[in-house]
Amino acid sequence: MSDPSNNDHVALLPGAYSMPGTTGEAPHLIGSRCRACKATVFPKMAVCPACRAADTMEETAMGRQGRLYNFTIAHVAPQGFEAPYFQAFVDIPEGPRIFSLISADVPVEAGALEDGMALELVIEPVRATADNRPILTYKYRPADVAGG
Amino acid sequence: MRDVAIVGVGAHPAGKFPEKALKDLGREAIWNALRDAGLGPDDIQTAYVGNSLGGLLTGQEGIRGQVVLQEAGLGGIPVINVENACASAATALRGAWLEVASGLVDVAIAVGVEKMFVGDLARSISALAADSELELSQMGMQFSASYAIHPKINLKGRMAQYGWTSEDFANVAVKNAHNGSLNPYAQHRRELTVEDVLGSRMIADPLTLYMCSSIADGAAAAILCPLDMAERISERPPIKVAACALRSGVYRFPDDGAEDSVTLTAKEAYEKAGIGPEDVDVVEVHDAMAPAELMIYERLGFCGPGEGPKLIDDGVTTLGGSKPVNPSGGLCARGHPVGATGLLQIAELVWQLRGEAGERQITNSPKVAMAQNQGGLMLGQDSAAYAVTLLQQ
Repeated sequence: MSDPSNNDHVALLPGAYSMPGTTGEAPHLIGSRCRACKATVFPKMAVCPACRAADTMEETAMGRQGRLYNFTIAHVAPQGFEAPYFQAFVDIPEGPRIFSLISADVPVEAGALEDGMALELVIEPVRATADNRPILTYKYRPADVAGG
Repeated sequence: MRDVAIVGVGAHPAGKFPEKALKDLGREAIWNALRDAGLGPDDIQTAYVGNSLGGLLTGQEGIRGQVVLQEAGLGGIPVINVENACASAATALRGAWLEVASGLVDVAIAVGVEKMFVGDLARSISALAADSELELSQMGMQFSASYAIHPKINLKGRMAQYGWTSEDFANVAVKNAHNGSLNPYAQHRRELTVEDVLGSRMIADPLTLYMCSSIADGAAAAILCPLDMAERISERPPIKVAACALRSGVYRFPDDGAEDSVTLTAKEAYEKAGIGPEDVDVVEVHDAMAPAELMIYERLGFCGPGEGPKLIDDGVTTLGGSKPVNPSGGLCARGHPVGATGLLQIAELVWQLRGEAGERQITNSPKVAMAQNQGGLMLGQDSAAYAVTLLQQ
């Protein structure tokens, strides 16, 4: 796997999550929170989908932790992904329930995950560009894997 | 607004037709509808053409409607290209309906056409994924898996919540496979057993291959005119369009308790038509994964929460039941050429209402028919487009 501090990587979803840098901080997602009604969304939005205000959304870091809402293993995959692979929805404490992939560290077996389990965010490659630069995106993995 | 009737329908079977292009599929459906209505191409005053994936899959990114219509001998009239993911055809129907209802034209055609077999399955699957909001498709969200776990569908969660079983899911696929086996327009024309369905390849737990719609080529068309002019325009018995409800998804927050968009769309249709779920005699639903039919029963008001499997077990929704659902075979057996599906549903319901459905003709002397079509998936956790159409004898 590529060196995560290597700046040669590109983001799959630019601006949706922190990219690995030199600060060593835990990665986070970047969403929006409404100053007026406190609604929180991911990815970022300019107009609040809850109260429809157009000038109240503020960028906010979120999703360092999550809880597994639901998951399955997809045995067919669109281009750029390899089956079998996990598909999941994750509840993040700031509010949103988001679609996510699961870290490549987790073996693709139904028993590897459990609904409701604590998760943590990772930024990982999904594949590489034609000139071999890693394409990074957000994924989750069981929180206890990180502790090890 | 004027009352509108359908006086002609036609289809090209769903399936794999390597030798046929988008315009070949469309031409056959259009001409079948023209012949059914007893009309010619010069009688058509406006056309709405639904297609979803033709740009990505065939390279014909623009003007697909004009290309298809020219091949069928139609030109000069207004042509409106319609893209609304898997609900493209129902959306095209609404456009044609609106033009006739408003009095702008007297005869309009709605067409749905899709070419999904292009010799590369991965490309077709990717194109289908592109009917979801970009961030979801880029993240690799897979269509079948989304039915299993997406919060608004969540078939896996419903098993835990209501005690639904894999057998309940297989029973839906078995019912619809039987219907499809009797339908000359169906992609998959063979009976399945529960064992066949459960023993087929796992696609995304709990969904096995035979519970999932497959990719397909296909097309369908409907010709509309004012109800009070129908006898003059066509010799076919007019079928009234009693409601054409179309909604888009809304941004959903987790567990917000808000009413589901299928329910909201159906309520709007019932209200416009002045009828209720108990009045509906035959239904085509958007079961992109067969088990979703169980959930759609609830959302259309046919049963209470979690009670879907009972409708199957009691035979209510079989061809001989009191409220047959998916007599065509539905998306899994009849087939799901995505931009054609909504009008394949309409064609089937017109045939059923006229008593022309052959071996799969339902036996409850239907007077009211309902089509439920939906498509696309948004980051706000709703589908993009929801359509419910009501037809009346």
